[in-house]
Amino acid sequence: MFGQLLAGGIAVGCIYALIGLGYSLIYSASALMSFVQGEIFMLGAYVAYTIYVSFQIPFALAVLLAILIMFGFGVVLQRGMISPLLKRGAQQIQIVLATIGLSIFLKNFAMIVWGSDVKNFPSALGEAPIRLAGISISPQQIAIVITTFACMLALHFFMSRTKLGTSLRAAAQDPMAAGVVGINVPLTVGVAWALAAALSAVAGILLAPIYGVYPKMGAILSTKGFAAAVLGGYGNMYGAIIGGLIFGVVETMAAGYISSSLKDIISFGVLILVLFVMPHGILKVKAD
Amino acid sequence: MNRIMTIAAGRNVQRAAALAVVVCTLLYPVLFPDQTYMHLIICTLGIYIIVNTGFDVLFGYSGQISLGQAGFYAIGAYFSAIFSKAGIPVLVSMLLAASIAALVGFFLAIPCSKLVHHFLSIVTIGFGEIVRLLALNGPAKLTGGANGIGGIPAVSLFGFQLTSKAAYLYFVVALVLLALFVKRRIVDSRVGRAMIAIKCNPDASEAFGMKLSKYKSMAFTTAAFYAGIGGALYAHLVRFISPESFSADQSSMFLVMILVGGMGTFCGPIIGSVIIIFVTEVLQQFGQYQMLIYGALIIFVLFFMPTGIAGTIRKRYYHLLNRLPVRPGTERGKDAAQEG
Repeated sequence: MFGQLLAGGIAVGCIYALIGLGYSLIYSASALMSFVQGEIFMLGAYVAYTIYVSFQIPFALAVLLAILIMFGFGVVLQRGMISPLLKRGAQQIQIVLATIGLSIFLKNFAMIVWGSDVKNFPSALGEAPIRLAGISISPQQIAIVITTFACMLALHFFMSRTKLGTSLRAAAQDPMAAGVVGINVPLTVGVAWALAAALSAVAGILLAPIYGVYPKMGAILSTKGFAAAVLGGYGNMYGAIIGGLIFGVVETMAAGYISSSLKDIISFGVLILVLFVMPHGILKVKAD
Repeated sequence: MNRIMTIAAGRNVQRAAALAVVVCTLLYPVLFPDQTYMHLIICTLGIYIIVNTGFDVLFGYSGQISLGQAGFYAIGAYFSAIFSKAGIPVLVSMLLAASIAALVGFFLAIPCSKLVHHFLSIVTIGFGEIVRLLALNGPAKLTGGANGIGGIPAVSLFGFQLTSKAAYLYFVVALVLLALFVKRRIVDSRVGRAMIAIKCNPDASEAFGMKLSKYKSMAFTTAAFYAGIGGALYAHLVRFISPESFSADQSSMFLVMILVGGMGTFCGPIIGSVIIIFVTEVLQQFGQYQMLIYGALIIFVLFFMPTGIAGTIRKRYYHLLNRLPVRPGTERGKDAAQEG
């Protein structure tokens, strides 16, 4: 029972961690809050669904295409909406409002284009659960965990080993100083938003075979991804991973041992308690 | 435009305009007694103005974001419904429900007073979700689960049952005026000035001997009480409540209203509520495209008025409007706080 729940919790936590990473990236690169990550998550799943199921393109290619499209969407979002708004004198909170507006728009856009029914996304890995030391795990759950850790490793190496990643970190720390030493700050901010969008899309594609694809799938996931990012310490990449895993495991344990209808009450309650004790999240960052 | 603003800046002009608005609202049910749908909308508008007025004390004046106002709104609605169905007089149960909401707000403020920005956002989001889920999954005898509570008794005032929407409208208008008056007194008082100071610069305010947690929890309690009153009014207006009405979307709608109107102003919450209600009603005819246009409209408005309607007007005509019932310190203070 415990092992089973732990495995399920880790798989769900990985999804939260991926979305939370997006929030953290956006915050550390541009000090902004975006409330559109959940809808990007949903859109990524829909795009992959359309390419894979409707156009009959092989799974791996379809996923790659969908992630690339969402990466581009992130760039367009930052260049087309966020940056012009900032130039017009909008402040943090107005960007929040703009992203709320965009999320309403995208949710209803999906509802009109694809309909509000749940679309079945066939898993490319089959449905037969694998039994491992008395725990049965679905292949999709294994795929979630492996992909998430691959994404994190790739992101870690991108951030610490490549020139673009290093300049992204520098620009996040002090945009003005980074600009002075010749770093293209707008480029790094755009890359951060695009990476955040791509990560959310990956999470959407990973979760789609389990719950299906529907317009409101992003609403609750965006909240939980945000919770993961905040719990771990907002703006801290590794914090988002820890926060996501904790949130996922607590939620699944609560559902398994107490009641599945109370699981969200308990997980949010734990979140409030943790923030009461550690007001800056688990991995402390300065919030201002 | 300049001349309009010069005229609008006059105290007497403002008083006359406010009086005209109130009189028109009061005369409306007398002149058009059949338009009950319109009465319902005006009642809803009044409720939103009350909630947003309280929210503005929390968000616009003391600078604390809350994405869980629907939680307090739900507490007010549910408790008032439960108490009044148990036989307690409606007015008393409304007051009790709002007090419970305020109490919850006070307790929520204990962890919240240490938090800022996104930390505060997620705690309030979580709070709103917890309240909604408790209503949904709590004891079904009390909250009715997903079916909600029906048959909520109407307000009775001095022996009169306010069953018609027109009669309820007068009750709501009276409470709106009271709410606006109390907010005005709060933000003009020592406490209100302390809240603005804390919003502008928490460190400096603390150095001057203001206890941050005290004022922050005061703001939270006030906002929760207003939202509780609004929720109770809503419950006795439609006389049916279900968890559907208190989702996170409702919370973000309050935020949208206050930001579109302009935060930290007297008129902002009113303008925001009126505009959002108006837009939602106009967009009804577009059917399934309604919310699509609504979302696009928010972004569109932001492109032309990045600081909300009241904020943009105030910025452009500041020299003329500085006699408007607007606290000039808030906008400037915010800029200063961001530079520092």
